[in-house]
Amino acid sequence: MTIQNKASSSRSNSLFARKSASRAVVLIIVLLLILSVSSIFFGASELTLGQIWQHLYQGFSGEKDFIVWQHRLPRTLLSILVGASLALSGSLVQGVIRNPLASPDLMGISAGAGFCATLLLVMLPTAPTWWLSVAALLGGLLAFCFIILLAQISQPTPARLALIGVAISAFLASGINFLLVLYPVEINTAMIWLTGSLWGRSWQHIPMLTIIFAVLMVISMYLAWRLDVLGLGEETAYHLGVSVKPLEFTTLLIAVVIASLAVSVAGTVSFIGLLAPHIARLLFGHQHRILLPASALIGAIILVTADVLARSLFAPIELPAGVLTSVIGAPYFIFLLSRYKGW
Amino acid sequence: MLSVNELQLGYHDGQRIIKNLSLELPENKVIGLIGPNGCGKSTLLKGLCRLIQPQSGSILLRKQNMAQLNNRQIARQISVLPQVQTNPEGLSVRQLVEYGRTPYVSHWGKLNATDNQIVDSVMDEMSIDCLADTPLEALSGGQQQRAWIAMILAQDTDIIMLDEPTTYLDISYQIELMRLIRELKDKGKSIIVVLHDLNQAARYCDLLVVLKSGELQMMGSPHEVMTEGMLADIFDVQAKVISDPVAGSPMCVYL
Repeated sequence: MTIQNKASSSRSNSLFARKSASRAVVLIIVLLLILSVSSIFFGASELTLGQIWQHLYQGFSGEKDFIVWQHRLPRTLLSILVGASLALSGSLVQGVIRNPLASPDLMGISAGAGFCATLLLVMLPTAPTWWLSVAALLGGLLAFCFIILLAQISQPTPARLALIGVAISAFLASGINFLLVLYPVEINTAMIWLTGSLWGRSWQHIPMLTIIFAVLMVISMYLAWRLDVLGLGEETAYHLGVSVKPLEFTTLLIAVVIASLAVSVAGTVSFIGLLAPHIARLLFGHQHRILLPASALIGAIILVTADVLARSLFAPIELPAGVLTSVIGAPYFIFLLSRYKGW
Repeated sequence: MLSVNELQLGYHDGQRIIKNLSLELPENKVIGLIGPNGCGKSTLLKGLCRLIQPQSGSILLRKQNMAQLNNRQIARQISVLPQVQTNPEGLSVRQLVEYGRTPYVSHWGKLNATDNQIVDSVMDEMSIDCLADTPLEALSGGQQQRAWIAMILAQDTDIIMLDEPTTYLDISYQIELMRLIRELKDKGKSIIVVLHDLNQAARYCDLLVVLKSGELQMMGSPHEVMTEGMLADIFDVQAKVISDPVAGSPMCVYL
């Protein structure tokens, strides 16, 4: 894969200079905290700030407690984790492929994970929840192998690679539809899950996702400066002593695993993996040491916001958060394509 | 420095670009690889720095088989200026030069005081210290080339390989670069450079290696190699070889 970043060459530097970057990160963390707290008391059932305060600091009893502890809080934490995971995955994929159009969902990884998870949902609706994660992981890896194989054969330009990804996604989406038509009874849970909803998730996924995200984030930070060097091109990175192929493989594997797990928990939430790294790069520049955590934070912010809006815009009806991320993400993708000159 | 034994190189099975090549490259010389298009000179350079693996045969780097060295060990001995350079968006000159320290940094990529000192001194040497914070894409072609050479120098290797470094440069930068190559040689470096311009090769190299169709045709000093017969045989041109009035090196004038 010798693909260069030709698009978006008009931007020269990040919005924040290197020195103020840490201050900006703090600002973003504060923003995430504010959004998370507000996420806890937006929704179908009204809660006042006082009530939440009371619940957080005093005993827990009654119906509101149930809402906060069994519903709102895990949901908010999951939004943070899923958003951060998808964004981390996207920035890793973009770091390796050096393609501004690359992201886990546009490369078919999310669709692959979605397909296998749907297969499991309709075939074995009583399977334990962790099977879903395994199925999604397998699906993500399968789609990844497929796209790597195609890339090896046709040596595509970035735009072609994006098109291959879109084609794979469409193919897998048709597979998902086929399953849904074939199993109309089991369709409901699958549908909600597929559009990327955070509804009805409780604590069960949180420890697993937290631990895996933390481990993969640390490994990613360990790889970060190598990815910077890789930005000089595969050849130059090799001449500088970087083991290019193992680096690319490990990085993409991390990206596939974390994206697939995020999909297994929240369904196919689209475009966060594309959008968040772009925003992070605009704000913080290209150094992966800053870019990776910044992307994760921004991904978390996007999904928490999308979920709050999804819950409150048409309350008491809940939209899946994935619908909202697509509403923002799809036009941005078209915008990127229109600026893209490397066809 | 490098000894090549019965080397075969190609990009895929069945393709033989370098055929059964054996040669001995001495230390502390400027060695020019020349030959007509498609003769395999760039491929040979890629083989010498192990960017591509030999199909058969071996290359010894100071008596060590290169196949048995890891990437970092090679990167501490050989630096390479690629023909086409990728300038990542937003990367500053200093950041680029810091990447030259990659073969030495710790697992977490931190530069130590020595690294910083080396980066400072090569930027000074290449007179780009005033451009430290400038993004690469804001520089002219010649300045970019200087920044890249500073990166190569920060790598602090005894052997430097350059693949057609003068091709896309204005003439004044070409001369500056070839002079720099001589200076580096005087400081004890060994240089291997692929060159297109025969007169440039004859003027600035100590040793010329002539390739055609992947085979070694001649090797020797410019005076030995640059002959009218060689130009006719290898490059298929009729030319007169005269003495360069300034440097005294052989110089060809085409008929």
